[in-house]
Amino acid sequence: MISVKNLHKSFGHHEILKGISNHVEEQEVVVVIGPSGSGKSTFLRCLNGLESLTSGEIEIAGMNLTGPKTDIHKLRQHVGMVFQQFNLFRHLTILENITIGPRKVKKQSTAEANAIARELLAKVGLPGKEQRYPDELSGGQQQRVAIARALAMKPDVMLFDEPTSALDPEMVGEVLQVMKNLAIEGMTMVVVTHEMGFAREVGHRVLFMDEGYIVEEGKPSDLFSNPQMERTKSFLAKVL
Amino acid sequence: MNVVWDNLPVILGGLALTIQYSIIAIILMVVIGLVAALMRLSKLAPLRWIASAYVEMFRSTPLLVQLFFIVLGLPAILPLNQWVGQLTYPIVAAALTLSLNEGAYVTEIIRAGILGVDKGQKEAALSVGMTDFQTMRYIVLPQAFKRMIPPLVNQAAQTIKDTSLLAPVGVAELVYKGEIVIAATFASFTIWTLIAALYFIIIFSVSKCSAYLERRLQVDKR
Repeated sequence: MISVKNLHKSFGHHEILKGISNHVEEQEVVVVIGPSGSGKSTFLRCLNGLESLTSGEIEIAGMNLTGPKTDIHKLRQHVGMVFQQFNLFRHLTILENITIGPRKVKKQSTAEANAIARELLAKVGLPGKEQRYPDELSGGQQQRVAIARALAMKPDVMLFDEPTSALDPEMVGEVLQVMKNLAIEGMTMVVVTHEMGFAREVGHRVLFMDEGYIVEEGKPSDLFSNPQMERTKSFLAKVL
Repeated sequence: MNVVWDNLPVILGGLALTIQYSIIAIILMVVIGLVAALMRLSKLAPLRWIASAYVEMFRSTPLLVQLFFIVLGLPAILPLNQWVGQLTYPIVAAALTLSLNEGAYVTEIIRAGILGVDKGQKEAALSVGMTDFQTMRYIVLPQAFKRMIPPLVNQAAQTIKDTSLLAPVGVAELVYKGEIVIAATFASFTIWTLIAALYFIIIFSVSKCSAYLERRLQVDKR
């Protein structure tokens, strides 16, 4: 589903990603952990072209992101993204937030898009909030709407960029539960997070990143209980 | 008071022209400003240069000089009067010059409004597959527009006042007609008071209307 070959990314002279290669299978849930500044968010943002690559190759959802003829907008329709700051469209209602992509990008009729949106709102546990505006919802609710917005495009892959980092502690659980349900349904997911419990419980594979490299990867049970590399050990010692 | 009553038709004729020029210039300045702002934010360098040159040129010279230059100066070297029409050219040129001048300021207002929208809004729009144009049209501009209303109303008020500078190039608007009446009646105090009051009434009502509009937008869409 995702294949990354020798990905490099620099901002000016500062190299953030120093050669990342990895492969994500269909229906796999990959959790990316690591200290801040390790490049994990940048890595995720490269996967849907929000950051341009300096060099390397990315294939995602059957399309070549790095190809010269690739329609990046078409590619992004198949790759959902959830942001740390939710980024709901503040001038639109919850219903419009979810339907604007399908309506404007996929040219779905309003009736069809609304029906799908209502289903998704029920699925993320927010029925009846259709006519509210984002600012009227709590952070946890907003993030669940953001997940519904991404799902409305019927993506093949979902990318999560620290989806619970901006939330009050008591709201983290409701968002993680929605993500867990998605994983159980078989969605292919790449999740950058500091939630080690989620990584352990839901992740099929964990990548530990530091200073622009994938330092170590493995099954959560192995990596958390028996890390091989010194840097992984010292990081886990601090966060677990 | 007789001076006022006797000359009211003349003055109101001037007022009508002031209002017409104001409406045309306000509409055009927003259109020009939007296009130039998008050019200034474009990825294509030549578009950015053209728009920047336009803004700097019109911001760095006085409107009155621009009006003299375009309405009276240009026809001296180009047969614009013959192309456009002897009577039409000054009218069109005056309206266009005023719009271009105000448009330069509007460009910066709109550009600042667009840049003021959180970057995450744009990223979220792109991430559902919207094109750059759709992102601008459906997500960024509607949010930018709301914060642009107060400075745009300021600029509209400025534009209405600036129509008075059209008098020296021969547009028979309010000030022009006022001077004619004064030349015939010598009632400068009365007539200038009347003219000032008329400007005040127009601009004050415009700003009241827009305050109402702004409140409406705040309530419905936060």
